[in-house]
Amino acid sequence: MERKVTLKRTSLYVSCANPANMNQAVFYNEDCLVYDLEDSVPPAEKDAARLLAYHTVRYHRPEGKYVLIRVNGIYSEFFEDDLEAAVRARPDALRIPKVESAAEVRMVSEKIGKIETAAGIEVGSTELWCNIESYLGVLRAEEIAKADPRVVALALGAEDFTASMKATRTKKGIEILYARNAILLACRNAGIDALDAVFSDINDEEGLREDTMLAKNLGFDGKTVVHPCQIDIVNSYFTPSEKEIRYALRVLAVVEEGRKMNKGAVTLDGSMIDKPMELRARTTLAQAAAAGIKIGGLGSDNK
Amino acid sequence: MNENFSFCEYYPQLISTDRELIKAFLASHELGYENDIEYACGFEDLHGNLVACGCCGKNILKGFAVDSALRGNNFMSRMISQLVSNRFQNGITHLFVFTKPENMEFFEASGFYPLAVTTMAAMLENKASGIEHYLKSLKIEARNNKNIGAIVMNCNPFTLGHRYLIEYAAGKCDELYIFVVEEDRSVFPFDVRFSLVQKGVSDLPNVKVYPSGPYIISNQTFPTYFLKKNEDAVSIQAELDLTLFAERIANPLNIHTRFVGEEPICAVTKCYNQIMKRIMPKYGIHVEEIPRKTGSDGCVISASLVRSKLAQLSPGEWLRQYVPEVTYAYLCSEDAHRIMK
Amino acid sequence: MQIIKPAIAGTTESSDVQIMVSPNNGNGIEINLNSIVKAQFGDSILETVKEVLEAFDVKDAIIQIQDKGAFDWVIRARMQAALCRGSETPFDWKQVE
Repeated sequence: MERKVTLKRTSLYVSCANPANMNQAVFYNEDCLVYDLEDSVPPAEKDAARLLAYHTVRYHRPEGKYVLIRVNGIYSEFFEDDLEAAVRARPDALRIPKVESAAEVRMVSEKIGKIETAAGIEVGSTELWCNIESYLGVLRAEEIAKADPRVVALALGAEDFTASMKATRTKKGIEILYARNAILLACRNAGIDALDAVFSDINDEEGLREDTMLAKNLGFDGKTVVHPCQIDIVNSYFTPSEKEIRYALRVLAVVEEGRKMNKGAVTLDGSMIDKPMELRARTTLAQAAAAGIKIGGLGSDNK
Repeated sequence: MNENFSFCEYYPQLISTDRELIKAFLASHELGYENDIEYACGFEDLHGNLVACGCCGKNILKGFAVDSALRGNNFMSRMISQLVSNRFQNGITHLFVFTKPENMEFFEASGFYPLAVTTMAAMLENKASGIEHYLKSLKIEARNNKNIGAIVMNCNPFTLGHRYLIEYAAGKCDELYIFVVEEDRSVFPFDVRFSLVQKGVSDLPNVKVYPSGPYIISNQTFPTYFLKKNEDAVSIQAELDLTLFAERIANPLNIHTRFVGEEPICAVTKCYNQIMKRIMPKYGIHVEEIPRKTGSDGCVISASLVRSKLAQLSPGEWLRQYVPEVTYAYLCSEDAHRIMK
Repeated sequence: MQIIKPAIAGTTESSDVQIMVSPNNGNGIEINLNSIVKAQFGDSILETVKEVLEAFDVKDAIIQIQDKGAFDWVIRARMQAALCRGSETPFDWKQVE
C-alpha cells in the first residue's frame, strides 16, 4: 500500500475512563490522538472504557487527526477483547504496549487480520505502533521495526524502560540515550517513524524544550506528550527550518522530473533519492504546512 | 482541573501510614476518624499533602473533607464516584451517606437520594425508591381503618420481657407490626433472632413480624465524624432515626402508635425514648411507654440480662423464668452453643 | 438478558453519566432519570436507554440514571457496560460491526 504522509509530531494519550477528557482532546493541536485502554484505566473499568473507546472512535472520531487506540498488554487478560473492540472501531492504528519481539508483532498482526476479515474491514488497513518499554524491546528494536507491513512507528516508553534497567529516570535523559538511538536506528533501517518518550514534568517548560530539542536533533519524528499544554511547544520543534524546506522542495522536484521523463532512479547533489527519502521530503513539507508556513509550488498541497 | 493535584487511593486498615494521613487530615478539619474505614480516596498536591478526601466502611460513605480554597473544583463528585465504584467491587451495592444537611447537594448530585433530614444531620441512600421497594416487599395490604401499632426490637435473644411487651401492645390495637432490627450487634445473628420472634408470637393472630431492612439506624452504625465535639451524637442519631421511621415507614403504613418498653437504667435508651415522645406526635403517631416485666427475682427481664447470665452459666432450667419455650429450646441447642462461644 | 445483581457504570463527573441497574423481581422496567439537562434532553436520553434495553432483551430491571451532560454515545456505552456487569455476561464484541 502506498504509505501516505501522516504527521506524528505530537501524540496525546487520553484516558477512556473519562468522557470529559475524551471530549476535550479533540480541540487541541496534537497530530495523533491515542485513546487509552491501558495504564490510565483501572482494571475494574476496562470493560466500560472499551465500550466508550469503540463508540467514540467508530462513530464520533475527530476529523483531521490520526487516531489510535492503545490496547492492554499482549499477555494481559484484557488483550483479546481489546483487540476485537479496537479493530472494529476502525482507528488509523493500534498502539501496542511493551513489544519485545518480531514474533509478537506477527502474532498481533495475524489476529488483527482475522478481525478485519470478520468485520468487513480492508485487511491490512489497520496500522500498528509498537511501544518499546523494556530492555528486551530495545535490544530487538531492529527486528520489531521490520516485523510486519502494518508497523509504521516505534515509540519509546521511558518510565517502564528505565525501571526494567534499574536505572533512575532523569530530565536530562542520559539513561535513555542508548535506547533512543537504538530505536532511531531500527526505524531508519525499516523506513518507519520514531517517536520519543514523554517529558513528565508539565510545569517545567524549559526542561520540555531542552528535551524536545534533543529529540529533534537525534532525528525523532515526534514525541508523545502527557498533557495538552505541551502540544504547541513540541509541535514547534518539529517545524522544519527554511534550509530543510528548500531541500525537501528540491527532492520532490527531481522526483517529479524523473517521473515525467520515465527515469528509473533519480539523484540530487550526487546522492540517490529513494522512496523513503521522498516520503521524508513530503513529511517535511507537511510539517511546514501544519505550522502555517506558506510554500509555493510543489508539495504545497501535500499531506 | 487536576494538573496540580494527583488522585490517590488509601487502605487505612492495611497501611498504617495511610491511616495516619487520613486521620490527620480529617482532624485538621475538626472531623473525627472512625476505625471501621476500609478504603479512602483523595487528592494530593505537588508536595504530597492531602487537600481533599472521602472514606467508606461497609455500606456507609463518610469522612469527607475538602480544603476550603479548593471547593467548587468537583473533587467531591470524583471522590464519591470512586468510593461507590470501590464498594460495588466489594459487592456492597446498597450504600448510605450521613452528613450535615448543608452538604447534601454533593451527594444528591452523585446519585444519592435523601431518606431523612433533621436540622443537624441528613441520611441518603443510593436508590431512588429504595425504601419504597422495602415497604412493598413487606407485602402489607392497606388497612386504612384499622388501628395499627408498631414495636421496633432487637430481640437478642427473644425473652419473656419482649413477649410481655408484645402481648400488651397486641391487646391495644387491631394490628401490631414488629420490626426486628437486621443489624447484628452482638451474639445472635439476625435469622436466628427473627425466627425466634416469629415462632414466639405465632399464637397471636394480629401480630406480624417484619425485618427492619437497613432503615433503622443504630448508634453503632451512625457515623459521628461530621459532628463537632460539643454536639450530642446520641440525640442527633436518635432524631434522624426517629424522623426516618415516622416519615418513611410509619406514615406510609398508617401506623398510629409506637410501643416501647420503659427504660429505667440505660441512659442512651432513655434519651432515645424521650426524643421519640417529642417527634412522633408531629407525625400524628402516639407513643406508649410500657412498664417492663420483672422476673421472679425482681429483676427487669431484658435480653442483656439473659446474655450476661449466659456468659457465666450454661443454659439450663434457670432460663425458663426469663425466656419462652421457643428461645429456651434454641439456647439449649448445638447451634446456640457454637454461637455463644 | 437477566439482571442478576446491582451494578454501576460511569461516574457523576461532568460530561459523564452514572447508570445503576438492579433486578426488579419481576416488576418489569423501572427507569429513574436525573439529568442536569432533563428539560432539553430528557426524552432523548430515555430513548437511548430504552433502545439499549431492547437490544439486550432486558425485560426486568430498575435503571437509575444520574446524567451530567453526557453525549448520547456515552450514555449508550455506559448503559451497555452496566447491563453486562449486572448480568455478569461479557459484552460480545464478535457481534459488533
